[in-house]
Amino acid sequence: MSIMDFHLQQLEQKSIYILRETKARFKNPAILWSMGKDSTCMLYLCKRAFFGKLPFPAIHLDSGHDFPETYQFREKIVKEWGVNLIIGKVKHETDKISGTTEGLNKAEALKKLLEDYKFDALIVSIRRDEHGIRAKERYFSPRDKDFRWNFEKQPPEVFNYISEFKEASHVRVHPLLHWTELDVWMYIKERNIPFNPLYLAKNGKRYRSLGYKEVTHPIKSDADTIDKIIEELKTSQIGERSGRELDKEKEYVMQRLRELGYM
Amino acid sequence: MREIPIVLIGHKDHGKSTLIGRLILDTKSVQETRLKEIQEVDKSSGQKFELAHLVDTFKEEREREMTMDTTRAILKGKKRKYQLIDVPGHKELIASMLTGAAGAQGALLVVDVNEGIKEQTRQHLEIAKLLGIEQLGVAVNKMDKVDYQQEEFEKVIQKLREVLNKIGYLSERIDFFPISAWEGDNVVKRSNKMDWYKGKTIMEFIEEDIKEPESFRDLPLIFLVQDKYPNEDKEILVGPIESGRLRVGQKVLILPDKRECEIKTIRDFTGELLEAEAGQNIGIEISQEDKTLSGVSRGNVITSLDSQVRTDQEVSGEVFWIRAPSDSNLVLECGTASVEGQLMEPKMITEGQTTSYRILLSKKMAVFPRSRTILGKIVLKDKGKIIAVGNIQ
Ligand SMILES: Nc1nc2c(ncn2[C@@H]2O[C@H](COP(=O)(O)OP(=O)(O)OP(=O)(O)O)[C@@H](O)[C@H]2O)c(=O)[nH]1
Ligand SMILES: [Mg+2]
Repeated sequence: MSIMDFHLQQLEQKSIYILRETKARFKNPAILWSMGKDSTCMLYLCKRAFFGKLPFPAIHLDSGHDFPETYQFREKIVKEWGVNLIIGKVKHETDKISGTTEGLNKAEALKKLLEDYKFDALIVSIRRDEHGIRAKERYFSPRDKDFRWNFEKQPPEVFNYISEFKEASHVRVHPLLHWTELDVWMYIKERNIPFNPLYLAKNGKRYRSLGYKEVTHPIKSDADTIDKIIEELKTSQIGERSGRELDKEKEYVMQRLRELGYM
Repeated sequence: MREIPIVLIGHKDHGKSTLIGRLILDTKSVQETRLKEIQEVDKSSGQKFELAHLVDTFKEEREREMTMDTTRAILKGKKRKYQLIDVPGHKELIASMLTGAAGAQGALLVVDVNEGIKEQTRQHLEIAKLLGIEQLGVAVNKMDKVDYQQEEFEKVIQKLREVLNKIGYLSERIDFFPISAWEGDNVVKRSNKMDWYKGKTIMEFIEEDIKEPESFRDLPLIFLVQDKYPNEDKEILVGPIESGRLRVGQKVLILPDKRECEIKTIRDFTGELLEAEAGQNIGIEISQEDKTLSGVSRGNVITSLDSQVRTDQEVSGEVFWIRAPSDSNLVLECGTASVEGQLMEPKMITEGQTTSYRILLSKKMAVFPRSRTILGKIVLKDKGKIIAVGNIQ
């Protein structure tokens, strides 16, 4: 076994442990699935954790504004992996799409879904390396009735021990927190996990991160194979989500959105 | 993990976040776009640019000039990668400090040369020791403020030696680094203002002296029963192998009942395996006389017949109290087990202190005292909330 293999296995094993903890501790968890590389990786990790089965439904917060390739990819995976898909309709006013409204509209739609289905845990595929605010997250993070994230009162998480969440409306679970963007791609390659073709370069451009098509911009890249993506990431000095409007440091948009329940 | 976790500890304002900022900047571990973004935000909000803002990302943290929640940043070395863990130095934020420090492979204590030893200098050291962090380096920071004078450095480290020895860190084995995190002296680049110092830079210490985490493969077998899943007409036990190895056909003990059984199958997603080892999350079937898994459940531990893992009803050791309990009925958690008990000692508890403890449990529990495994580490819970963190001795 190569060294690389061993590191990826460690990342994977930690995620599997957290997914199994989620099943053991919560009655009704669900997985947020955007059809992006991270959340698709998460579905795959679930299959590994639960011996090929997917015990949790997957939620797609759907605005109709995702790329056509994304919808095609969704249908393919649902069929091949037997995903129990729940579609949460995201309302929006077409002329007012921006990075911020993308985040807020999705948070609203999610709120409704959680009320309807009474989910008590939501598995979200965020990583620390994505954004300075996300680096502050825990593996298990409670949200209050209004969905707010109170970062000053985050309960301690020591070794594998966590507190009970009696006052929480639901708990966000982040099994990929310790992965990096590069890890995810190396893992996708290693395990041969299907991914959305938008990540591959076409005519000198590719997407590094996927959101609404109106507010997501491709980066300059010639990486038209997974190996080239991995090479590109090893040398890149540009932030992963630089193509996403809602993520700019400016005015602390990300922090405000997270406090309001955004993913 | 690929990245070796190193926690920065010490009193508020002594420069932990600034040192992380300096380390990731001078090693080019941080993307250029991030730095520019932060400088712009600081400018537009009328704030002074701080290196600490690379990790203090909350608006409130920047306004109040303090770390409020633990965070991690990746440091790229020449041959290895590290996770630098920033924690708050404020006394009220100690729960966040524990979250960051638990599981760290090494610690860097940051001490302001002007201020010397303060309350959280001592407390963070005690916690590091309690959590089992053995590798430690001490950065004496803000040398620029004392004109880089050797005497000032020596004064502080003399006092530090006493404190370290008292807490159980052998001071003669510990390196002290005179640095300026703000200016960058002796952090990644060697300082030309302190000719009297011939030792390593912080980065050299990290790269050359911090050892890789040891594998638990050669310790006694500990399989933590995490859950039970139905599988066709049978049930399988799932969980992590915390330490040691396991193979099909092996005779093992189920704790705390000490029932003997045999490993019938081991499996993961890919199918059946002949053996598995520490670090793997697996599923197993066992065969025992009554042929059922009734009675075996989350919290049980599977170990080898000759193992040092034992079962105790009275557990003692040391803990750090995040807050004082509301009464003496607490829950002790160890591995995946969670058992109620009566706290016998100490009688008087002040929050923020490390004390010895003794608890009488309502039933027996599998423990591995003084070990580096999870069965040597515990938390105490009061009404579901973690109020103390510590070990079993
Ligand atoms: N002159 C000088 N100032 C420094 C140095 N290191 C840090 N500072 C300043 O000291 C102040 C506190 O530094 P921080 O890095 O925020 O301290 P901290 O230990 O992270 O503090 P808490 O997060 O509150 O625990 C900041 O204004 C820094 O610019 C140094 O080497 N020299
Ligand atoms: Mg700080």
